Amino acid sequence: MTLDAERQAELNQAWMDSLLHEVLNPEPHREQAHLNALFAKPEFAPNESNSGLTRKFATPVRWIPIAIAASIVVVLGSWSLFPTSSQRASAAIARGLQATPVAREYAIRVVVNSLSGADVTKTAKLYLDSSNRFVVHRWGWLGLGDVWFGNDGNNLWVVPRLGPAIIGSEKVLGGWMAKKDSTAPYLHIKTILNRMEKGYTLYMLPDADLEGVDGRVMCERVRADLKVNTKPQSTSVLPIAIELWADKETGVAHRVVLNWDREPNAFGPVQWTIDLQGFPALSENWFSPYGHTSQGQRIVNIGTESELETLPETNEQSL
Amino acid sequence: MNAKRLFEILVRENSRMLLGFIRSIQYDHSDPESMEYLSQRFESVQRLIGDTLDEKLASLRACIALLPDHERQCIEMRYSQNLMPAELCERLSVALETVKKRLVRAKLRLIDCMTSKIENQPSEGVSI
Repeated sequence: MTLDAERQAELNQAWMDSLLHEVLNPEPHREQAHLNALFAKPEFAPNESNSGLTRKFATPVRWIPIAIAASIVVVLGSWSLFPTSSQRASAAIARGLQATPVAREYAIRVVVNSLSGADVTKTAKLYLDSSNRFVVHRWGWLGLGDVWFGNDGNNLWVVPRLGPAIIGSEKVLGGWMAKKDSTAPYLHIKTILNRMEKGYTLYMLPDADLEGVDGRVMCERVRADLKVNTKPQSTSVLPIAIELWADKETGVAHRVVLNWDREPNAFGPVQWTIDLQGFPALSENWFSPYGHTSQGQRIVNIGTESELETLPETNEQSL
Repeated sequence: MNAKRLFEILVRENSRMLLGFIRSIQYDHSDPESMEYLSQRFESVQRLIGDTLDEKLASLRACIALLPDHERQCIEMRYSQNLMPAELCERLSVALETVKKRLVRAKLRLIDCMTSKIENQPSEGVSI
């Protein structure tokens, strides 16, 4: 950051001005109107100039899509499930999974097309194990703090920086989220598989090597292209192509690249690159929300579907 | 607490912080670096103790209470009654420049006070 002291002082004044408004005059009645506007346009493109402030709000970027990545890696990480996988590959993968360390860490790099046409790059971390448990640590929204979410094998959970953490069954929390975006019921891995089988055409590409955790790794490559007859509204949500690089010996996914077909000025993800970083030793509770809550942060279990029926329409945008 | 209430809290707390950010950007025709700086400043507030934004901003209330009386009066009237400096100088029967200086000085004290409180927070949570 190269801001000079004078500029920092100006920004500190703006920061304090804003906090003082919150403390001394929160304006609850006006706040509701602001909230309504925010819910309609929640994401703020961070690299745009201030001209035309309203243009800076864009289509919601929910945290669901990154769960897609997690789920896809979980699925592709054991891609013997794919119908094109050979018996030999399946056997290698089965052997590999037995030998695979419990947890893997991936770096996710997301390139998002902003309304100004400039690309914005964001990064996140993904942790998963061979029991389909995963944790994602991702950026928050402009000072709202980072967000942890994951699946502990039984339940989905979200740990925001503010407010209580939430735990819900895949059926309840995941189902509710999927219902909010009917084109993206991604949180259920079986659904992913079904979608991949039905919605994509799979190809084997020539083997190639890449730089792995411990040197060059020879990989088998699978490419999945979105079928041309996919509904138009799905094409803005689903990547048009997914490429997997999996260790030829073990089947462990080393790289997954997802590409979207998006108009130059249309807001949304353009490319995700998910690279294996290593096999970390994680704490016992890493895949549970208890591993990521701060001291004193409440954890609330959402138990029933009937409770979710009464949720506001825009809840997921707060996560 | 039911799910509806829970999500309302999440939405409200996070959105208020976002509103604060947007408000400061509106004041300040910011470039990307400035926005990043402001984003970090707002994120630093998250380190304060408390579940809700109101709880976290108790630190700022404590800082306001430490201001000299004449500065605290200006700050409270400016923000709680939404009075502009010109209106403040009429109410307080002091020169406009005096009001402006008091506001600037008070905010500088508050920035220092809040920065100190944030920096002195015990570290929390899990880092990667």
